[in-house]
Amino acid sequence: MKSIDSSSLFEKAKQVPTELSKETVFEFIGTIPSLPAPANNWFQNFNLNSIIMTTTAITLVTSAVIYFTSFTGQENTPVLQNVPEVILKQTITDSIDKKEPIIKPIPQTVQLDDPQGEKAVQQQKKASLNTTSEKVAKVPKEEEETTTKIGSLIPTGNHLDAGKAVQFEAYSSVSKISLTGTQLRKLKSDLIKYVKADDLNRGRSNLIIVEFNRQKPKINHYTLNPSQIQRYEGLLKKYNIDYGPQRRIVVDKKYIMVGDFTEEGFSGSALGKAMDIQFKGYDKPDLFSNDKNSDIPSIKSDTLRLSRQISLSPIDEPKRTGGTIFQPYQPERDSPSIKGEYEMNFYQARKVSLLDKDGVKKKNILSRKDLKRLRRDIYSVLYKSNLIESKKADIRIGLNPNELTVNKDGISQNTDAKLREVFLKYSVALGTKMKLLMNNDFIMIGEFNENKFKGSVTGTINSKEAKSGVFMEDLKEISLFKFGSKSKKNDN
Amino acid sequence: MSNSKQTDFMTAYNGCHDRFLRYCSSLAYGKMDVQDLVQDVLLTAYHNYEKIEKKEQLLHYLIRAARNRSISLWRKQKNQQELTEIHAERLADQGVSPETILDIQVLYRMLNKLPLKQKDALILFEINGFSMKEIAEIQHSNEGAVKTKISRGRKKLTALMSDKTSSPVSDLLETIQTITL
Repeated sequence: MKSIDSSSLFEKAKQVPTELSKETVFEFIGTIPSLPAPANNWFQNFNLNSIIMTTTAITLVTSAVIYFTSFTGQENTPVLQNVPEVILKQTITDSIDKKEPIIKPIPQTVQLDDPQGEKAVQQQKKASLNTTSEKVAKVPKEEEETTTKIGSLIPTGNHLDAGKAVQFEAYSSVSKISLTGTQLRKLKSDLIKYVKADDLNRGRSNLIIVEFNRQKPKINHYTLNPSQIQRYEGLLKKYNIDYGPQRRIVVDKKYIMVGDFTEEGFSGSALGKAMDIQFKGYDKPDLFSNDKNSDIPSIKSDTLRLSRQISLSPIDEPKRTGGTIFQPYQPERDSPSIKGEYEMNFYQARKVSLLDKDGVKKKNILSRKDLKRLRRDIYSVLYKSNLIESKKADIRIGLNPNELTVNKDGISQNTDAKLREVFLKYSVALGTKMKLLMNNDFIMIGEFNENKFKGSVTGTINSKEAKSGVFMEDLKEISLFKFGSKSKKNDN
Repeated sequence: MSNSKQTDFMTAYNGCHDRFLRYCSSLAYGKMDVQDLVQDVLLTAYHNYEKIEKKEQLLHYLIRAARNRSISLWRKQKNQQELTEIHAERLADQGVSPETILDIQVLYRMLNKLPLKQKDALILFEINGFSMKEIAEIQHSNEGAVKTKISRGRKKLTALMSDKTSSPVSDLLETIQTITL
């Protein structure tokens, strides 16, 4: 079919007579005066288009009003006043620049059981330096978020412990602060949330300092507005924390201290890393307060800044500050030996990553399957060489590239060659500090260096057998096995 | 008073009739009875005649009113077939040949497939003979936009009318079916 020419159609439409004649229309116009005026049907103006546009406009206007009125609260935002310096006498490990702590390494207990406990220890005595081991119950998982693993984990009553709060009694007349570990953890979590919501953080720092005095409560040196005061009052009331002239709460990543920080020292409840916190110059009258004191000469702002200082430092040595108030002290101590026989189970991964985070190939990292095959092949070689009578014997192979030794004895060239063949097959790296320990229950291959082990291990190590066998010399150096040597932080 | 108003209105309308009716016909085709549309518009226009400032532009007013009315009050009072039959009868009464009626109905059907603004511009320009400037005034637009609408409308209409699409064929068949002359 030919395409229809639209121009001709338009011509026809232009020339064709109208559907209604002029006379018909005039007749109608003649009747119009007798007809009622068209009703002002305002609802006829409503159509989908008008409804949508009107609704959209109303929504936009309402949103704008709500959005902009929400900013009127800014007039009540806290004002930063007279911010004192915060001096970190010794760098805390959780600081942003992550310097190494100057303090001596704090001994760390490695416990097979969950070391965290719920019960707080109520103390009224001097620090006890005797270590006692305690069994502690597990902490519910939801509370683990609020606590971090703390350096000092000596399970004694007077030390800041990951699971237990330490109470410091005061002889002042202010209301006593006595909070359990659970309460302190919860308070820390709540405070962090509140401070974050109110945008009272001090930059990226995790440090929160609450000055809970009746005259001018402050958080991180921001003066609180009345609504904020009410909020924080409500929060602290839940924990029975009242106002006090020198009542403060100091929270950081690894500790929380709630109580009174006086010249005599700290009294209250604390949890986490042992800290010495002093508020210097805080009890002097506020020079920027509305109450003008003509006796106080005008001081330059730099000097004012220096007049208030907070010093935070981990505890290094005992401090007795008079009376019965003192800061806790943690000496270096031997790791408590675990009595009785025990077994340690190791499960090497089925699939292992051969490269470390820097892309360097790791040495002697084998999968569980390969470790077991390696053990089987080594037993086969040694058995055939008549070096062992049983394929369950304890084997210690020194992987010195110059000379392989089996249970500290030299081996024949033939056996040496066969063993090297096996090692080549499994890509075992040789080295002066590389060793292979194995028996029917486990196999361990890697570097034994500076009380650390780097390598692969799978199977079960029985403590009794390990202590008495050929493995003792190597395993005792590794704190992980707790054979009584001094344990150090960050072992393995 | 009313007589003079009526007379004035009729006098003013006299010059608008053809173009106004053709516009209403193309607007109403297949959707509503053109008589309903015309009467609605004239009734409103008559009662608002005093408010119309430029009487010489009554046609523009009527066309805008017709367009607005057709959008807001569009409803199929009668089914499409009935409406097209009525349209064909009226034209036939005017002495229009069936072939012409057929062609016009095909044209209207094709125009109904265009976007509203393009259809409107094309009708005003091609059928009613308005200039682009006048169309821009009626549509509260500018000449450039009107030119674009007309150009695009024509292209689309040509495409619709080409023998590549089957719709013109089915439309023709449908149109033939409705003409019971």
